[in-house]
Amino acid sequence: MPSTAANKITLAMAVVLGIAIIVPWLLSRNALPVNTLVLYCAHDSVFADSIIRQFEAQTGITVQVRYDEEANKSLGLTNLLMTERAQPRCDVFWNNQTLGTIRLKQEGLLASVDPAVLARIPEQFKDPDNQWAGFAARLRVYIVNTDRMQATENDVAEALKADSLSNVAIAVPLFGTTLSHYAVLCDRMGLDGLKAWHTSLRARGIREVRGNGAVRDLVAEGACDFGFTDTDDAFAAIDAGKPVTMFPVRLETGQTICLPNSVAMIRNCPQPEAAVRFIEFLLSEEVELALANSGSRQIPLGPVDNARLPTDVLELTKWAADGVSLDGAASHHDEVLKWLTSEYTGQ
Amino acid sequence: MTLNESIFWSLARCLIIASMAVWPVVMLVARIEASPTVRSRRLLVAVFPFFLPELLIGFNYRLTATQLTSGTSPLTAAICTEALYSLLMLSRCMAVGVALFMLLPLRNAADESLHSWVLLRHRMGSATWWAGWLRLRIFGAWQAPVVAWSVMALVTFQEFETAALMQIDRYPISWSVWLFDAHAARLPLWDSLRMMAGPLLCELVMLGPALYVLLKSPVAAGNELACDHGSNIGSSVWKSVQFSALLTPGILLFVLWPLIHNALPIVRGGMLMLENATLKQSLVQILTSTGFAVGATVMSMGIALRICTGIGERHGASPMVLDLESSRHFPSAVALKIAENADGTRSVPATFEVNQVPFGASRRFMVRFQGQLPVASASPLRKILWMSLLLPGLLGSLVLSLGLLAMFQLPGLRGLYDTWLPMLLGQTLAVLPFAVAVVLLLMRVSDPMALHSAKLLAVSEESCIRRQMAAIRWRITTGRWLLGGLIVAHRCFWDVTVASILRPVQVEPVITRLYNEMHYGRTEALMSLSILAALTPLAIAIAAMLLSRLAIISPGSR
Repeated sequence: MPSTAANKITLAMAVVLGIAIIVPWLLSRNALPVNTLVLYCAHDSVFADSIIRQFEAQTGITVQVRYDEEANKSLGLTNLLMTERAQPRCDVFWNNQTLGTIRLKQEGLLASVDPAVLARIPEQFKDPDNQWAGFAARLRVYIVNTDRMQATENDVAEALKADSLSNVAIAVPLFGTTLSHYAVLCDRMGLDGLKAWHTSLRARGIREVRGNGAVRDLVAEGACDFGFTDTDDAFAAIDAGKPVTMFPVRLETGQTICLPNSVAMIRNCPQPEAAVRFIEFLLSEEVELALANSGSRQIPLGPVDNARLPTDVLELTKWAADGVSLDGAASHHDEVLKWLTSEYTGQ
Repeated sequence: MTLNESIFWSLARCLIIASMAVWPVVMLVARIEASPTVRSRRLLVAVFPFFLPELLIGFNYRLTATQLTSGTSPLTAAICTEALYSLLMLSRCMAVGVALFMLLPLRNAADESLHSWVLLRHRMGSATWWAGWLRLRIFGAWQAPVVAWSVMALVTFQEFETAALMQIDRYPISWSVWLFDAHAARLPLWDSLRMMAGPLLCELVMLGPALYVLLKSPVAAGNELACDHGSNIGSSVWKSVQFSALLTPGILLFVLWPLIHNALPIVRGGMLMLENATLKQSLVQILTSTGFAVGATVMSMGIALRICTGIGERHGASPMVLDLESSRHFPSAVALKIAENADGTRSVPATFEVNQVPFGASRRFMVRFQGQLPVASASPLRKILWMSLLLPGLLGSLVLSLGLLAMFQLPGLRGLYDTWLPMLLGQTLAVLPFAVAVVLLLMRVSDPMALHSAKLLAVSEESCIRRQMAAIRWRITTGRWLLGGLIVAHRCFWDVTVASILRPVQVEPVITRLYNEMHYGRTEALMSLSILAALTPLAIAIAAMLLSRLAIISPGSR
């Protein structure tokens, strides 16, 4: 290679490297640190974004958000926070369920906040050490294609007993709320019971796909009769005018699986004051109502003016009242994940 | 299913698909080259499937896969899913193969050389003769198919997005999806690396034939196609039918079906984007991705050039190359050169050449050939060191990103963690093996004779000639490299794994947003944003090409 060409290439590489390091450094110098909050958000960005912008408008604090990408499930924000534990860049973790947050508490990654900040949330939905609080829940549901089968809870229960489940869909339970669902089942029926249930589903040919969104699409498009998913996914199909309806997944005791969002401050985070303000904002009635009225129809856990809730959510509130406690499920999370990893990868 | 089983399955699939793709690729290229008037259009259609993001293909076909398997037995369902996935991969492979064939140089050993070698059959030992025969084959008619087969096998073996999105009941089985699932329980980095040993070995073995041919063959003798055979076989009607039949699966699967399926969502999404004023946000995300892709392309192609020169690849119009050009008219000389001296480090005995060479090759050329060919290559250790830079990329985006993530948590590097550097480095290393392949090909196709002629004519007194020569010079130098850069940048742009793991919190590349749109089932937004995301960098690239061309051929420039 001629030396002039080599020099040009080296120069171009140096310029790219320089830009990659210097520009972000200059930008971070110009930003006022006290006015910038880093948020890791596992809640769907299409619904969370407006809430975050509202907080920015109210407080003047800029929020830099890192959403939990669907593509990145195997790492996930929970695992990322564990990786970054030595020098956290995240101030607040807005998780779309609670099991991962409880895991972070067990790892010693969360900081306690003033109990007054969490006061609006009922005791059963928050940590006794004030390290996290639940809000705006969703439910595990069966999404049913009304063109393909009778849509009642009994019909779904009967269909689940059939010899063939080739028209039923479920997400691979290694990730997300399906994993939480499995952890709840493990808590109720033990690991052996869960294994037997899982084996039975697979032996009868249940369709396993990658993610609750895929389950929703298969049922909505008529490729499957019904499937296991979450309320927010089911509402996406309903809002799109698809011939679907939903029923809550019930345990043998009749209890439902209600999975709240949760929020927590990261221990040793760069902006603790802004973090507390954000947590306070997120746990407000205003935000729970906004999430209830959004496309995801999250169920408020704190006291709200019911007159301001959509009828869909009022119905869900009744189902959520039957919600099973998730404390036991949290303790089984790792055990279930270990078994599932072994089941699916032979490791 | 264990890792070994998934590797075995993926390996079997990729070997079958790559082998099946070779013949159609040869036929397609012959047909594309047959008519210069419609060459560009045919080429565009043939290579189009390669440029369609895997994400969109997986999204489009996950429902199709389920509909195909609905109400069938598990075995039938598995066969249907595997067949659909294999068909998609075959179409994609053919596009890659066509692109490679178009780039690869004329075979370095002509049929005449082989014939000459056959005449020497009884004058040398059997083992020596067969070794020479094999080399003449590999650097002759088999050259382009061997390289294309290697790369097509690798592309199929490494595929992740489409397999992950289409997967139903664990089919199609893919080691890359297996690896992703294995990380659900947050594996230690060492375990990730240990798991990658098998796939990495497979990838190296697959790449072996291509690297051997590209590194060992003499420099290109011109830009004629490697596979011009076949173009004169059969009637033109039959050839047209054959060409259309070979292209149909690709057009149907990658163009027509997605377009029919998504025409309305694309229009609606475009309108929504304008109404909701999300256009600005989308453009910022697209430009962010473009910026990273351009940065990673500059870095990776720069390193790739260093690697290629570091391992002894020759580049440019050196006297040696020009002499090889001269010698191309003497096939037997080339035969001797390739068969006995493929690494270019030793000389062929002149007496042997003069006495044995049929067809009366002139002594003058043979002496020049012999005298100027030897070029000292890098030592094996140095070659290995340079080649080891490719290993992180061959580990795959997931393990590479997790490794870099762990690296930037180390005390000395933690300060750089939330900058653009980790993602830039990740994309650079992830795309490096691909960039090396592109650079090797670009160096192979550089035609020193044409370049030299263009340079000579560029100083002509006639301004018209100067401009025309400058345009030609641009096309065979800058233009080609920009095109190569565009291909590398395209791969960086659509790599979701590196972006989702290593991106700084301040910026959001468009690919992660696309994934989320897909997750929420917002087909309109997904499709319209995808099209915008595909077109914006392309428009920037075209603008860059036009500007650079203008700068070179403007009257003031030389």
